[in-house]
Amino acid sequence: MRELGQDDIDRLFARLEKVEPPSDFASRVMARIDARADAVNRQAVWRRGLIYTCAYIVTLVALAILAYSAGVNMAHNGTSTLIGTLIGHAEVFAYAPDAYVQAILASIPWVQVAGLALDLIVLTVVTRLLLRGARSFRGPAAAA
Amino acid sequence: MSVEAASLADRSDEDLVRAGRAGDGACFEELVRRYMKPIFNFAYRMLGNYAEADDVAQDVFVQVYRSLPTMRTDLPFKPWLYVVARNRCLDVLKRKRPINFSAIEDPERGEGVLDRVADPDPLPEEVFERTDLQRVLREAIEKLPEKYRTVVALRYASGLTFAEIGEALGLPENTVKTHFQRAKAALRASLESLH
Repeated sequence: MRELGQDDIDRLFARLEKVEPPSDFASRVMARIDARADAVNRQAVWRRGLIYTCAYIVTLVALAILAYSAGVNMAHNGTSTLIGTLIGHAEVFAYAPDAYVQAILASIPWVQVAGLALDLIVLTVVTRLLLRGARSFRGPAAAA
Repeated sequence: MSVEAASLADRSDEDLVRAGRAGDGACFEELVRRYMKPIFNFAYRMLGNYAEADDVAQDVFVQVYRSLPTMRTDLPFKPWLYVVARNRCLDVLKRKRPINFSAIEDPERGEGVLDRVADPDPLPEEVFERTDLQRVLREAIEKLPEKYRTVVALRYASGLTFAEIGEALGLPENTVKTHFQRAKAALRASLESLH
């Protein structure tokens, strides 16, 4: 390939002065990048916060429904009566403890109880995430 | 220069890109410092305005930073940076005035007025010694059609080789050389018209 030799135009334009960028050019670029990264982070925190809040509300509602349902079932199955008797008349339990325990265990609505336990675990996790998200959103202001 | 800064300066562009992509701000800042002057000069020669060149050069680096997560690290960084810079300059020029896109997009087309310029005589540089040389050179560049101005700015303002210009513009090296020769003919005609 033929190389292009230097001619008068090249020599003339070799004298074209290079302009200097402003002295704070790099720092302004980095500031813009940081500002954008901050904005993106805040947006992400907002989005996460919204998701956690929704999850928190759903879990609370589920807790209320499951608790009500478990209570209704316990009342229907006689669990509350059995427990009430146990508290008021302990001698009944002493008379036939195995049968009494069997009766209580049989009357407990296990599905609802398991659901309640699971819901409480989820609620604990979501609450922690929500609190952590709130702390990170406040960021430096909270630290100050 | 600190030891850390010296070690950053020793690292390749692609290495800095990989580190920048992983969230290392210092590495990306080194890339900005490494290329801010040639990119700024390129933008200045393309746009002919210092404030606009400042804005565009900043936008280029911010855009590059945003694109880091999706950027291919197996490709060289420098040509890609100039692709972004060129596109950004063309966006600004498009907003300023309509561009004859056929002149940009058809590299093999005949050049009419430029083809008529074939004066091989050297220019008397002394003429320009008495005038504002920089202003004259700047105006001569600004008069060029965009595709020639791009090649001239990349060559004279950013100091790229023809191969690098070819990579940046997605053109074969020979085509770049042809554009450059035509641009020089146009520059010669423009400068000669001044005296």
